[in-house]
Amino acid sequence: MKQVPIDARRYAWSRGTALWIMGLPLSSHMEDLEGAQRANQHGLARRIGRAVGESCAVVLAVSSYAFRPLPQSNMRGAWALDRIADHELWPGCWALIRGEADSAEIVAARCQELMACVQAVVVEVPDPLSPEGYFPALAMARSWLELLNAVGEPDLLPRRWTQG
Amino acid sequence: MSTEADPFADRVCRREAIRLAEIDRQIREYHGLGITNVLDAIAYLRDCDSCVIAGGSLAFGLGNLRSDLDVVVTGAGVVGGSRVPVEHFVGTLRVDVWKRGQDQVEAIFRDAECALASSDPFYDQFGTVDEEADLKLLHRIAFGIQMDGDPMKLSLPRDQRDVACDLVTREYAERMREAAFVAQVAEMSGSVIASMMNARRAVEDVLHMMIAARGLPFTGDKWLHERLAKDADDLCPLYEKFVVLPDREEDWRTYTRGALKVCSELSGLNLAAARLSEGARWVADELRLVELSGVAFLVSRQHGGLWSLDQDEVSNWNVLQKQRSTGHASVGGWACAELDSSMMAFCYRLYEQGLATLRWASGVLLEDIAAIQRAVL
Repeated sequence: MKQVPIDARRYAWSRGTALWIMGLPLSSHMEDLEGAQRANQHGLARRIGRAVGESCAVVLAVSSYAFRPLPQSNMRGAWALDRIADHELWPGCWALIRGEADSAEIVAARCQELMACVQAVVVEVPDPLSPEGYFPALAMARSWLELLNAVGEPDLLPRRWTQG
Repeated sequence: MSTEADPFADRVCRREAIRLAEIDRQIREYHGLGITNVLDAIAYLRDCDSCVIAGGSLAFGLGNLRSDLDVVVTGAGVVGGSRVPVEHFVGTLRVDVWKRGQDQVEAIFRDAECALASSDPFYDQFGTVDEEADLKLLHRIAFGIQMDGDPMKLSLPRDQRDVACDLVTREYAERMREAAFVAQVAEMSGSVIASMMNARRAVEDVLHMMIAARGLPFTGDKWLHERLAKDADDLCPLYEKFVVLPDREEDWRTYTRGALKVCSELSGLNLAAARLSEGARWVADELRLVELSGVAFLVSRQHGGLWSLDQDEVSNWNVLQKQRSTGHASVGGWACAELDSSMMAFCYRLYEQGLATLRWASGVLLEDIAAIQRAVL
């Protein structure tokens, strides 16, 4: 038996938040990126790349250092970059967030590389948008919601999903 | 009557048939199936006296192979519905279906009109940056393609397209205002990346404002570049100037100031920090200071967090607390116009870390936005 050296609520919130971001928003972004690449929609690719860079920075900030709370969306990228300033993945996140004017192919390659590195640091999350990943992702989400409930933390579901 | 040349003629009016034929062609190219396949798949959601409207990127001339098709099932006879779309796969095409009764749709439009008539800020009541559900829904209804059924006749005092565009115009004007203010406060506080990112956001917000003010449908943040290229290419060079952030060793102040100058020129709004301060306040009601053995901590019970403060920060906090307790700060928080630079920087630090929010005395009224007046002309 080994104690987790962090408060239970903070652990559940930070890891749960990281996994949630990796599970749904990032999968959706990578899908969008594939479409942008095939259609040579460079502006869309660049915008998605920014979102991927920012999401990865946030995932690293909350999962590696358990910083909370998340600020509002206009501050999230800068907040996360500030907190992972010494992390080896900082340059990859920053390059995407800057929106360097590369082709859709290069943006996609950078995103895939960054995602792979982040997954290696955090954990690999099944792709909920794929047939083989849908149910495993749901099962993972359910487990984390159970943990959040057990430690008395609010769940991470978007408010609109649960409003009447 | 439908023919091979005009397969949708018996479903919808001529103009819509042309738009529908185009989206049918696009879906067939990407997925090898057409609109009739989609309608068959979602037929179980239809009630009598319902119509089906296609919205989203594919319907508005954007989209690609991986885009889903956003559909609204609505009408006077529609029963039930939810705030979350029902996902379907029709072959490889993902179809997200929102089901809303006509009364629900009219209620959202009426809420929009009320919000537009009010001087209160919107504060994300029609959707956040991450979830723009109602903003997009109104545009799907107003500008979407009639796939099947008789067009819904909404009981509204104004044209639904005007309401939808005015809503987006004002929403993005208010987002732009906050981004512009934060960009300047961040600059004053030496937060380089936050300043640049908010300056870029302000430019993007003002461009969305311009698009909506021209009466064009809203397609969300990620399509901005393609949207400008397709429907407002006079604004493309402006966007290209600010879309890539300077690297840290480059001249970021010129970038930030240039971005805000453009926002001010396009919107006709005075975005100077001193001017915006007059209507802004920081709110951080939940925090308290605790001093332990000579170390001061700001405590957030809500977030289970502790922040250690240095002596200057403790002094700032104590001054802010005195303002609150003497009633100098009305209705919670601290008026930006009454803060010196040191206290402003302190409040910004709270905001930067999600411990404070910005509140505004009023929204950005449409009559104050020059972009609208130019569009009308």
